[in-house]
Amino acid sequence: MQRAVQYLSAQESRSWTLDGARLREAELAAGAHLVVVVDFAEESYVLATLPAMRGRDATLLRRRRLEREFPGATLAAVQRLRRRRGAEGEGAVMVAVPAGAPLQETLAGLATRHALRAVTTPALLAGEWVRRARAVQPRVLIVLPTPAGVRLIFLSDGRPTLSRLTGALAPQQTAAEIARTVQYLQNTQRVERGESVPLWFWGVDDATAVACIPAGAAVAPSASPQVAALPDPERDGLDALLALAAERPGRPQLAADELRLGWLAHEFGRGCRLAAVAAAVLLTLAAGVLEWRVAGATRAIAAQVQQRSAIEAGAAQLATDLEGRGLTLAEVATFPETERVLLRNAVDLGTDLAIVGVGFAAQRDVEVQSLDLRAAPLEGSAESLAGPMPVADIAATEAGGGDSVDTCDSGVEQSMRVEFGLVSGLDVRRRDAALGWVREASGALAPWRAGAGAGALGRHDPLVVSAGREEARAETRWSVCLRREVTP
Amino acid sequence: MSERLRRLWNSSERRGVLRAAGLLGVVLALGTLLVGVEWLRLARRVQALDSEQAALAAAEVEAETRRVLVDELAAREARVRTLRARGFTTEADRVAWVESVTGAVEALRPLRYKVEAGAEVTLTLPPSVQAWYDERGLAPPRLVSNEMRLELEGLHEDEVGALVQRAREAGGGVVRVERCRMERRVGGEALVSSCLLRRFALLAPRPTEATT
Repeated sequence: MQRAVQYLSAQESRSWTLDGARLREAELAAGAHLVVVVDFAEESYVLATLPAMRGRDATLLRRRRLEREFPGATLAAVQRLRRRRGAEGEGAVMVAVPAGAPLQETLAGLATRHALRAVTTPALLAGEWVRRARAVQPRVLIVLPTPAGVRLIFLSDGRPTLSRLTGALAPQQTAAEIARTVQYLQNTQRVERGESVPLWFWGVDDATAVACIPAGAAVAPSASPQVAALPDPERDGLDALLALAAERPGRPQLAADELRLGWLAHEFGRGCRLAAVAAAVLLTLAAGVLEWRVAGATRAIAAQVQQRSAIEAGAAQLATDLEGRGLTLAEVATFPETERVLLRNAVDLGTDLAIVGVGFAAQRDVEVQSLDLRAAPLEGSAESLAGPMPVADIAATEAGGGDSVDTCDSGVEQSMRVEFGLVSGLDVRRRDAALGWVREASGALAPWRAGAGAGALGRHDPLVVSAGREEARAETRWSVCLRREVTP
Repeated sequence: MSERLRRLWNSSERRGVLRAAGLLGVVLALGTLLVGVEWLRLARRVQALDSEQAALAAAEVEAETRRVLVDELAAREARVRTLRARGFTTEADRVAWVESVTGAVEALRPLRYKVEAGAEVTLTLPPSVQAWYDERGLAPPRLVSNEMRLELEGLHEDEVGALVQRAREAGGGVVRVERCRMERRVGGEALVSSCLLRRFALLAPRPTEATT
C-alpha cells in the first residue's frame, strides 16, 4: 500500500509519496495511506490544567474542553504535558486548526479517495521528532521555513505549546519575529527572564541562520538531534518532517474518526490479522505441547503394559507349573489360608482344660462344677461383626437363691465360663483362703483374662457362723468368665 | 473503542471489518477446536494411564504375593495335598462320620450318649479368601459345613477330649470345635458333656456360578 503525505496551506497543496526511505513528489494513487500536514496561520495552542482522570470520562472531559475552547473546530486535539511535582491536576495543551469550509471539503475529498491516517501540523511533527530522537531538551525554539512562511515552534518538554507562522524568510524580519516570540514566552512565564532559549534552525543555511539570530535576545543557537533513517532536519527542514509524517506521524493528530475511517478499518484488519497469527501460533504451540504430553503418556502406558505383561507371564508360568503337579494356584494360595482362618480361635479342649486346672482345679478345696467353652465366631460371620463384649461377669449367687449369671454367651472372643464350688466342711478361714487363691490364679491366666467380678469372688458373700461350729455354707456356687483376645 | 467499532460498522468499511473479524474468529475457532481435541486425547490418555497404573500396582502386589507364595510353595503344596487327602474338597459322608464316632463312643461305654450330624449348610467365605477370588475375577469355591452334636454322660474329661479328637479326624476336611460344655451333676460324680463340632469343606462352584 502506498504511503503518502499531503501538505496543505492557505496557498499550496502538494503531495509526496514514500519511495523506500525517500519522499518523491508525485500524484497520489487512490487508496494511499495518507498523512495530511496542515500549515495555517490560525493554528492555535492553549495551555490548560485538566482534572487527573482516566478512561472514558477523561475522553469526554477533553472533548468538552476542546469544544469550549475552539467552538466548531473540526481539527483539534489535546496533548498531555509532563506532570510537575506537586501540581494539582494534569497539564495539557489543546491544539486546534480552525478549518474553513474549503479545507474541510479538501479533507473530505482526500478521505474519500484515500485512507487518511492522520492530520497533523509541522509543530506536532517537530514534537514527534524530538520524541523519536529521545532528546532531553526542556525548552527549545525551532525556526522552520515552510511554503507558507517561517514557522516558529516552541517545544516544552518535547510538546509544542506555541507555533507561529510569520512571513517569508528574511534575516532582519525573522530575527525580529524570534525576538518578539522570546519576549512573549518570557511575558507568559514559559521561559524565565535571563534564561537562554536553545534555538534550532531547520532548513536554513548557516549564513542565513547567523543573520537571523536576534541581537540582545536570550537565545542560544544549538545543534538539533538526529533520527536514524530519517533525513537531517537542519539540512532538509520541512522535508525531514514530511518524511517522518509519511513513516509514522505519531500522536496526537487532529482529525476526527469520521475522516479516518479508511485508516481505522485498515488498522482493525491489521490488528485482526496479527491477532489471528498470534492466536494460530499460540494455539498450535499449545496443541504441540498437548500432543507431546499425549505421546509421553502413550509411551508410559506402553512401558507399564510391558511390565504388567511380564508380571502376568510370571503368574501364568507359575500356574502352569502348578497345573503340571496337579494343583491350581487358587488352591495353593487359599487352602492353607482358609484352614488357618477356620481353625482360628476354636475350642482346644486339651489346652482349655489345662488352663482350668491351673486356675481352679489345682486348689484341692475348689471343686469345678461345670465348664462351658466357646469358640470365637468365624471370620466374616454375622456374629463376628459385633464388637468385643466388655467383661462384666457377676459372681454366682448362693445356690438356691438363683443360678449364676455371666455374659460369656456373647461377644467375638473365645471364652470359657467356669462354675465352681468348695468342698464341704470348710471352716471360714479355709473358705476365704480357697477363694483368695482362685481370685489370684484366675487373674494370672494370660492370654486369658477374667472379668472384674473374679476379683471380688466371695468378698461380699454373707458368712454364717453357727453356735457350735464355725463352718461355711458348702452349697454356694461361683462363676468366672474368662475371655481370650482374638488372635489376628 | 466500542464507539470506534460502531462507527466502522456503520460505515462503508463494514465488509472489511467483517472479513478481518471473521478471519480472526475462524482462526480462534479452529485453534480452539484443535486444542480441545488434543486436550480430550490427553485426558483419555491420562485416564488410560491411571487405570494402567492401577492395574500395574495390582499386578505388583500380585507379584509380591506370588513371591511369598513361591517361597512357601513346598509347605503350602504339602498342606494342600494333605487337606485334599482329608477330604477338604469333598462333601461330607455324614453316615460314615456318625458311624465312626458312634463306634468310638460305644467303645468307651458311657452311661448315655447321642451323636447327631446336621445337614449341609453353605457359608460365606472368609473375607480375605473371598477377596483373593474377587481381585482376580474368579468364581470362588463354596464353603459348606456340617454340624455334629455329641452328648455324653459318664465319661471322664480326658475321654471326652480323646473322643472329640477322634470325631475331628473322622470328619475329614477341616473340623472345628465350636463349643463344649462339661458339667458335674449335683449329687453325682457323673460328668455330662455336650460338644458342637463343625466340619468344613471347600467345594467347586456350581456350573452356573462358574460361568458367571
